[in-house]
Amino acid sequence: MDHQHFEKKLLNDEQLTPEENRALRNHLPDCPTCSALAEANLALKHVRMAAPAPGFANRFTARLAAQRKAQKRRYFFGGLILFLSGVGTLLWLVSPVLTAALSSPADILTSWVSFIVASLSFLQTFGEAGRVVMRVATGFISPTTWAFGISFLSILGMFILSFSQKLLVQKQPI
Amino acid sequence: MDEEKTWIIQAQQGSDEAFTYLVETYQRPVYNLCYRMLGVADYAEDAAQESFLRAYKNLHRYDIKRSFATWLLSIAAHYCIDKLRRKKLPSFSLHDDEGTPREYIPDTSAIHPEKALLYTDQSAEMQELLQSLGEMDRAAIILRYWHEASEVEIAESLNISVSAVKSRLFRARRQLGELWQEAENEKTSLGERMPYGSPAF
Repeated sequence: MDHQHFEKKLLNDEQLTPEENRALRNHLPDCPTCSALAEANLALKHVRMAAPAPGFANRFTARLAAQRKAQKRRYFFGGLILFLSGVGTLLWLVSPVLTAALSSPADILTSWVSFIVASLSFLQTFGEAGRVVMRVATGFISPTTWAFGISFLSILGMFILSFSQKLLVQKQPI
Repeated sequence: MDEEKTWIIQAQQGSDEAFTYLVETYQRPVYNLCYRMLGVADYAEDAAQESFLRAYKNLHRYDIKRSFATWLLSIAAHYCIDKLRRKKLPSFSLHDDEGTPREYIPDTSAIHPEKALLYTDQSAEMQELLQSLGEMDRAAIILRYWHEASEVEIAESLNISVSAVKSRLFRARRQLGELWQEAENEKTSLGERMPYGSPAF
């Protein structure tokens, strides 16, 4: 057993046999390298745990509460900024209409009524067209195709629902 | 199912009381890891608190089949490694300005006064030497000797292979041995220069 053997054992912190232990004791006084390694290993094995100052858990609870409060404040101000910018954008968009409505309210009222009437008649026409298409489609689309189509749409719906639930679970607030 | 797992499940379900119990149980190992990594009590306190906050935020990701201690120490180790890499922390001192030790260790000197003195000296010396190691090597040594983690657990905690852990421990021991030898040589030469311990003599 030479220096290299002991050095390797010490660097790998391997268990020594009683015979190796005796040989190492004889080797150590003549070898400062192995002696330093052995002493450093021994010191490492006798190291102690440092402990935090008392009240660590209480300080953690206070920190957690402060973080939650800060997050709530962030959410509140974020929401407020979003709301105010939404209101601002809306006002900016409707300001020309509002100005016109204030200068000639009768004209605006007439144009709105005519717009509503036009929309309603469009919807009625669209509904009629849809009914005609459905009547024709039921003639040449087989019941099996209908069944497959409806099943596919339900599976797609369920998939989207479960995916959005997973996303919600992952984004847990602190 | 053991008691700890019950607390973890309750904490995962949102119980603050259960998480506080986990903080109380693991405060010492987490703080010790941070202290040995960063070397300053104030930084260690902050890092330990932050590690627990990260664990709290990511508790839903914790796999109950794994060891909670390994998972928690892994968070703390990565936090400290990031902290050390991102900015150079000021050099540490084991004592504050008034000479009071920064390291809080429960007093056991009443039981074995001579051993306590020797271990405190060695602990302080080892703490100084640890700061010379690279962050990953230091983390591996701390997990191995302070937390008695196996090479597999260290590999899990530091996200490296077992062979990488072995080579890091090997290198770190070699470096610590060299530093230890240098420190011993310095002590010897200082003792020869100042036989009475003070330049006044």
